[in-house]
Amino acid sequence: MLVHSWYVCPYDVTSGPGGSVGRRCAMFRHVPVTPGPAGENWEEAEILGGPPGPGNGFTVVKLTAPLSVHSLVRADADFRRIPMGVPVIPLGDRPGWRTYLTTLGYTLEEVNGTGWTGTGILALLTTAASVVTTAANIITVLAGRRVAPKRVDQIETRLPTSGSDTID
Amino acid sequence: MGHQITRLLDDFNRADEGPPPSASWVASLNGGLQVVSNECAAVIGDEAASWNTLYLADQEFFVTISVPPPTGQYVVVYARLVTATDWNSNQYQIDMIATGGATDTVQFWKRFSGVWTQLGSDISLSPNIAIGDQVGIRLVGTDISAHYNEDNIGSRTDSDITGAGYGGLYISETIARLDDFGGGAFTSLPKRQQPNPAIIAR
Repeated sequence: MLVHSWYVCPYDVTSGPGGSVGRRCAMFRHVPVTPGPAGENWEEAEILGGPPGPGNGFTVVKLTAPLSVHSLVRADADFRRIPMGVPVIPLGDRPGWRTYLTTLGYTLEEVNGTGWTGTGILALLTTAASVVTTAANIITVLAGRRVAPKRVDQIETRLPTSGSDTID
Repeated sequence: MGHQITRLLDDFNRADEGPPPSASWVASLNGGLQVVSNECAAVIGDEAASWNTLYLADQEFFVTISVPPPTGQYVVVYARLVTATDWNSNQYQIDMIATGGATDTVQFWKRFSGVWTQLGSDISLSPNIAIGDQVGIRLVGTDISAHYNEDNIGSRTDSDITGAGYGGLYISETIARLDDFGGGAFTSLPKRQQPNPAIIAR
């Protein structure tokens, strides 16, 4: 059975066109070709991250795959699963998320504005940051700001959802 | 690929010429491609050329494979290249890569702000790239799709490069040859020419 879940992961360095250096979503480590042999599929959208450059930056990924593949992904320390199935993120998990999201360039105001739900975090990750409070954040946000932010529903519609369920 | 909408731009049927293949082209990487025996070829490899006409953002470009790339080599069709003479300016492209295996590989790439980023996963192409196959890229808004012999074989969504641009070709080494390059601004078929789903469903 195919189930889907959302992850945040970095870009990996790879060979680009013309012998150049490029980057690609780290989901390649686990699902390099889609559709995979068991019907695996994924779609990614770049999110705010470190300064642009090969290997830098992060993506939010929606993976549709068998549980066995999700298990491999969840065991990868570079992947952080967004908990979509719980009403709110438990208090004990929030400091970790707060640190992670601020590392990605979001302000504390934006992080707190997620309402500590998986949906709120996903919305934050798939839209440009709107609040800038420090010089350091200005640099980060300007480097990563999208021209036209992708929306969750744009990603959602590109993946098959029938017959699948979240793993939360 | 909607050939009824965009058109053939260059059939390369003329005496050997270039690089670039004609005055309608400009080199975008290294020497640029050229006409050899009525086909588009790279003589030194790692060469690209742009059709030197700026098209609106919604655009498509396609080409026919006349000599498939051997194992490890690839050909590229690109679009929305911001600077016709600069392969390293912003652009989207699809890479058709010969793997030597039972299937070949298609990749989407974006060049943006000086960084190459592969968009999404590899796409497996079966059967392998063959003589006479047609490959193309279509950009409509933020949708990027790869087309292979009339079939949409995959698509991506990206919003970093949205303006007008140039289309063109790249050949990684010197063996692959291309033919019949076409494309231009893409406009959807008028509604009255589209099939009526209600009729199809009957």
